[in-house]
Amino acid sequence: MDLDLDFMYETFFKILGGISTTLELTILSLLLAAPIAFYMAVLRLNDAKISSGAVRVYVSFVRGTPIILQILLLYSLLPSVLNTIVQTLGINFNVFDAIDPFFYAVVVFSLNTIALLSEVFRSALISISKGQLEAGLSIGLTRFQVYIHVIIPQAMVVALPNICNITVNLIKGTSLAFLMTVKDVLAIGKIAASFGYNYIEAYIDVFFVYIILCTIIQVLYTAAESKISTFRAMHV
Amino acid sequence: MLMQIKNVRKQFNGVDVLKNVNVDVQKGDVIVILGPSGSGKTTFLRCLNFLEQADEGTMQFDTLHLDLSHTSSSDIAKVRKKTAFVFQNYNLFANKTALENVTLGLTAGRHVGKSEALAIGRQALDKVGLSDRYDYYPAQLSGGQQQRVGIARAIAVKPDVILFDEPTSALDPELIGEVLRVMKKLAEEGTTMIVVTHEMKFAQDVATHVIFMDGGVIVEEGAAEDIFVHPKHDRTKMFLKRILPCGGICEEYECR
Amino acid sequence: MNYRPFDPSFLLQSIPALLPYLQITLFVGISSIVFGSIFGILLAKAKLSSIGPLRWLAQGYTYVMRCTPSIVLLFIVFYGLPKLVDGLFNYQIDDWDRSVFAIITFVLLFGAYVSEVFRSAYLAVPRGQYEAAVSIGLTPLQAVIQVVIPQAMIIALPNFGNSVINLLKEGALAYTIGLIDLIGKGNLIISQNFGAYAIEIYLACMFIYWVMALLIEKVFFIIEKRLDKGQTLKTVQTVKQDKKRARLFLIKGVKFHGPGS
Repeated sequence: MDLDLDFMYETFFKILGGISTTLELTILSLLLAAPIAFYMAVLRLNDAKISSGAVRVYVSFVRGTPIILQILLLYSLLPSVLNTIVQTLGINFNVFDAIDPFFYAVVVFSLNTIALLSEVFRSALISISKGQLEAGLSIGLTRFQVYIHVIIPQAMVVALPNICNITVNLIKGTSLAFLMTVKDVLAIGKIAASFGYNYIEAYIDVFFVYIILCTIIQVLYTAAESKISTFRAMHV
Repeated sequence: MLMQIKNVRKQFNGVDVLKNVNVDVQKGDVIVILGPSGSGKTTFLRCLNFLEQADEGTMQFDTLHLDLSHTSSSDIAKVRKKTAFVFQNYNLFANKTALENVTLGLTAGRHVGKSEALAIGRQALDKVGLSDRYDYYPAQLSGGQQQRVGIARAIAVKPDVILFDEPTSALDPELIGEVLRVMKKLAEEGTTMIVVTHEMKFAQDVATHVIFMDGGVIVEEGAAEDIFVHPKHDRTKMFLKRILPCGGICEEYECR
Repeated sequence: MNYRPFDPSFLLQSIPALLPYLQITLFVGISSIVFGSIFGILLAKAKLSSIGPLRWLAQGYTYVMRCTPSIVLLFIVFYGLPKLVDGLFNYQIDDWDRSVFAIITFVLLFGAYVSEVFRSAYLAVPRGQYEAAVSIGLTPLQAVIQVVIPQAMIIALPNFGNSVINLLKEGALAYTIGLIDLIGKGNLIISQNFGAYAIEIYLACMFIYWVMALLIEKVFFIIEKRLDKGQTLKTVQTVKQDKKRARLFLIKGVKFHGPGS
């Protein structure tokens, strides 16, 4: 098997350029999803019939359907919906030209991440002993204060490995953003490949870039985990 | 009268856990509540700072008059600002150091400035004998040390009453002494305490008033020597027989 | 693009047209799961082995697969495998059915994911079980097969179920290498209608996948209940208590405290 190694070398650096888009997409989706996911976790824990049920259905739907379909659906749906809104409001705005596909990608991945994160937050919150809340209340703190100072910090440590998983999966998921014409790592690889039909070389490059990305993320999370879980240091 | 609690009733799942409990608390009292498991003593204590809500009852606390079945959250907050609770399994904030555990009630709950809170906190930890453990996390402390931090956390907020829920029941035997010593010191200084415990000697040494509860009612109450040496009711006698180290009613004030 | 209202009837009509192609999706999925599990068991054994290089190889492979997006692997297998086979054996496999490439890709991926599930389940069985077995006279092999592995399987079941559902979802990508499975057919229908009805078709596909996922969850739950002898599953009673606790915890800040001292 002969591989065009020169091509691979050149393309590698072109593809590295796509990392910024991939990372932006990932980080933005995580940041947007986190507060909403947290709110949903709280709704689930309060267990009021309608809101808890709605969250359960939402999470079940997002987790039960492939992300590729979520992308295909929203990419077909969103522009038309926005277009309809813009036209009924009479604004002179060309949705199809003016909006960067990056925006659609963020919407899709955020909606997906919200569902996954809310489950992680929910189980992390449940795992914190009730005695922590009682102790906080008994020295005169409000429930809100106990959450902020005591419960949420502990829940975050419990949740961190799962959040790392979600991040890694999100990075891999963004590889599908090319379907929305976003210029991420895979998109650049495909474009470079199409010039001279060096598909396999390009994809091998992309493969290595993702391994690098993944490793960086895991290193960061491991460092974060050891930093914030000092209070667990010598525990059984 | 610091606190007067009347006619407390509580049911769990249709079972009467508290059937009509009345307790008067004077400033400086050390009230020890004894009784078998299921007698309702912990439930009663938890009703006092609203960790449980009683079905019926009234509380007069300083200038507050409260109906225990319908208490507004602001009144609950007022009571909690004047009381403190020491838990059987310490419930220290796992993500905070000993010092931070003690000062949180001051900085977040009572808007005390940071340096002042730290000073009060250190003083409290010194008082319980943990001056060398300010920056240790609960996971790095023994059970006895954790409970002493729990007590420091309670005294730092300068409550009118401290409630103790079986503070030594979760401790290994050799660690019980250090906690009881701290509690004795507090009692000798005139702290008002309501203590649910099985530690008879502590009760004999320190209590101003002993209450024996069984089946959700107060069976007998009185001064320590009255209960331990001259119990009147049969149920009290049976309980003491099982619990006291000498295996029977103490003829002398101190059981050896 | 014209403004055209959403047409639910088209959605419903398309489902019978799509369902036959679900077979292809399931064929790829089930084959991947079966062969992937075998591969996964071998990998797990390698990771638990005492031969250093074997262990590192298996761990390295798992790590790399975990970092790789399915679509990238799909393209690498689809474009690269024919070249590799051609170079090594001088044999053309370009015209093999697309489903074969899909299955190979997902066997590689599923094997990696599931090897972790198996490995950690095996390690989760207390050492004492094995020790007790050999001390009543079972050979080490018997101890493992009759005592440890059955228990490991129950521990692995929930996570294995999750992996199965994830695999089926990843399998949805197979259309990108030209396989006419559920989504492949869906795209065909869309292009036959000049790009119209995309939303209806994709929604129809999503509902089919959703129902599949729910069914698989249910099936695994039933299997767990039948196999579990009190080891891992909580009883209905404890689940109800947990739910009540969770509710009380947040609403009233109260710990569920039954009649006690």
